[in-house]
Amino acid sequence: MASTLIILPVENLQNEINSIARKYSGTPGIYISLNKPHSSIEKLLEKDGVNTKKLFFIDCVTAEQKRDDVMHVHPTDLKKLAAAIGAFIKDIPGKKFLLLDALSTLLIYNDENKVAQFVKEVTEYAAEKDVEVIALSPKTKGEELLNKIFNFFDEVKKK
Amino acid sequence: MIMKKEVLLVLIPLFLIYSAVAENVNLGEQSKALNKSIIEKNSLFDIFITIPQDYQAVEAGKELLISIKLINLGSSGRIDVILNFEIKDSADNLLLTKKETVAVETQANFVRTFTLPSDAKLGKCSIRVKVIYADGKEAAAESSFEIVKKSTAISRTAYFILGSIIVLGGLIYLGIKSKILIEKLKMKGQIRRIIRKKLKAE
Repeated sequence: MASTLIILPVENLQNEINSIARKYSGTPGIYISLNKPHSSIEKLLEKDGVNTKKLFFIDCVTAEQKRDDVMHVHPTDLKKLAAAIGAFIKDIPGKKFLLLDALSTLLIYNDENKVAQFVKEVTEYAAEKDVEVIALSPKTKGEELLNKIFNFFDEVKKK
Repeated sequence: MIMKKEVLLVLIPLFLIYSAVAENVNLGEQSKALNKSIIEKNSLFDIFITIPQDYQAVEAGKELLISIKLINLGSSGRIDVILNFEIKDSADNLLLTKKETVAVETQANFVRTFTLPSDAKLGKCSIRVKVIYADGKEAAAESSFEIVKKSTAISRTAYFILGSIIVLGGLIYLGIKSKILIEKLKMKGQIRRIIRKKLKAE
């Protein structure tokens, strides 16, 4: 399975997410929401006709636990986030994918090197477990970080 | 009659000397000290010195403590006596001297401390205490101790403190580790429940 980093203008971000979710419809996916609360993402995806029943959300925006089928992790706790991703990857049976929306948001809360380390850990673990990783990042944010993490991905797409 | 008086005059001092020697032996046994009492010139004062176990081996530059017992065997009443202290090494080199006057009625017990020279050589040393009283009469006592190498080993207290820090550090470490582990297990449990619920709802 491959890992892909998609760099795109911020205005195209939601459309790209929708198209990825549609592409993987029917396949269980782990959705790391760093920009919007999971409820907003879910609504936007459902509005676009995407089935979200097989999406497992790790919400890094909402602090309060409102639903018991969503995992909440603070974006500063990268160790916990990596552990949660690892646990989802391990426990979801069969084929699955991981969607990181959006990687550069982690820079607001963390040091660049820590984020790079986190990306390395996650991509390596996903590759080991044969899980497809799609990481999104708006063009305008975190140029330095993007330069550091290019190598961790099998493919980098600039749109 | 005259004969009897003369005999009495000879016997009384002899009796006094005999009782003094007898008491000296008794006191010596009681103290169980290593010192020896030397009675000089028919003295009526006796002196005993004891070095406590903790001071049998002293580092150079540190304090030596001795306990002194002075017994007035003869005259009654308060008498001022001079005490002469001398500390010598095994080669008979004088390390320290001290002189002082003390008043003794029938008996006096006291302790004295001496700071040993910091450059004193290691080995056996002796301390001699001489009591000088009326008309230059003298009694002396002597005891020995050892000057030992400065201890570089960690003291018991330091071991205790170090041990406590290690144990405390270990407990804190274990506490933190177990807290992390519990949180991790909780999170894994929560993730399993989420997956089960979602897959079941399907």
